[in-house]
Amino acid sequence: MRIRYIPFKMATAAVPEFDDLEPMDFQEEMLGSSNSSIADTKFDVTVGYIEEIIMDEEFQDLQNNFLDKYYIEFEDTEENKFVYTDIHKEWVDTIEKYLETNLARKMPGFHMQEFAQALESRKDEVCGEIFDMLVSFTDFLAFKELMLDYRAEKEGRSIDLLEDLVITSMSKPAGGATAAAAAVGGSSRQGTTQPQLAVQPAASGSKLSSKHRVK
Amino acid sequence: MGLLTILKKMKQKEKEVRLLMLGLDNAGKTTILKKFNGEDINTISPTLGFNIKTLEHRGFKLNVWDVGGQKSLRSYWRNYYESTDGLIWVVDSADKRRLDDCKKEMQALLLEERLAGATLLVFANKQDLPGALPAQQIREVLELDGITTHHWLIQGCSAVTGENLLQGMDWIIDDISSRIFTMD
Repeated sequence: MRIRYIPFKMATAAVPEFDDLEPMDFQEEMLGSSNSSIADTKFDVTVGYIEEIIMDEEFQDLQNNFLDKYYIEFEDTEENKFVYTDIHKEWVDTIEKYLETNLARKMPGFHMQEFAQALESRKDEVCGEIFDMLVSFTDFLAFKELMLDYRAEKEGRSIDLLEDLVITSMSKPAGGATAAAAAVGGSSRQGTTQPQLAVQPAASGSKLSSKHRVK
Repeated sequence: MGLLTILKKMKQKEKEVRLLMLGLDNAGKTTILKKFNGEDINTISPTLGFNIKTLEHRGFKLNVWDVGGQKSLRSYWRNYYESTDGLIWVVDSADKRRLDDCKKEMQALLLEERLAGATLLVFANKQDLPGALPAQQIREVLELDGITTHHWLIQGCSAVTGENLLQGMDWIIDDISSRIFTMD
């Protein structure tokens, strides 16, 4: 891996608004260095921030909300619907915009175009997990699989919760248990639509986010 | 172009080729794709969306995109032009009535900016059918000889028997690799 990962402290120190980490030393070092190494530092700091943003829980929430919004469109069939392409495009746009907004927040004066140029001039150095991960967001088939996994998990989990419901009601007095069992039986006779709908909102789980974290 | 798209282009694996397969409905695009991939071709129904297959062939990774060809679906084709290295235009050689329509659609694609760098392979499919026009005649009807903007080849084939599918694929890969991979 040729990308130099900036330790968190150093990345923080490079931004003027955080002055708690011996900024003076760091600035002196900066003054003494050439233009190209300033550019290198800026590049490395940006990459460090991208990692931070991607690892942040807020980004996991963003992804989960997105999956939640669209998973129902995805079916486990070989042929793809055209709408998948639109959704995937929106996914890439959403992530790009999120990265850009958050980088600008962390680094005042940040310009994505400038960073993109820096990337292209370092073509051979750009390797490592973080870049692989960013590229993976653009992979359509990987995205489809993510959606299908999410859907399977949601629909699988709702059955688990239904079982929990039965177990809880069994601990009640005999009459209550019968009533609860009857209620569960009744709902399954009508099909599983109702209980599934009832538990789905609670199902956005930590399991999924851990699955999609940087490997 | 956004950050992710730039990264994707930068990190595109060597010897990775994106092929876009288009043509009128019932031309045999999905059948060609499945036959080439060694899959069963007896249960194929009209494509209403798109199929993607990633195939390994001669050390190349082929990403083949097969998009439905019905008239109402053709406006979606544009969503799949980006980054295409090779365009495979599939013709039902036995459907003489629609050859004019076929020519118009194909010629329109050749004007697309995002397909400007793509190699064109025309599969004159269904050569196993008795009424099929030979590739030479399809070549004239489609006015292929007038094309100066793209490298092209027409190949008579049969998706059902598999005849000449390999030859066509080998040619398009050779042409693309000689254009792209020797530049690096």
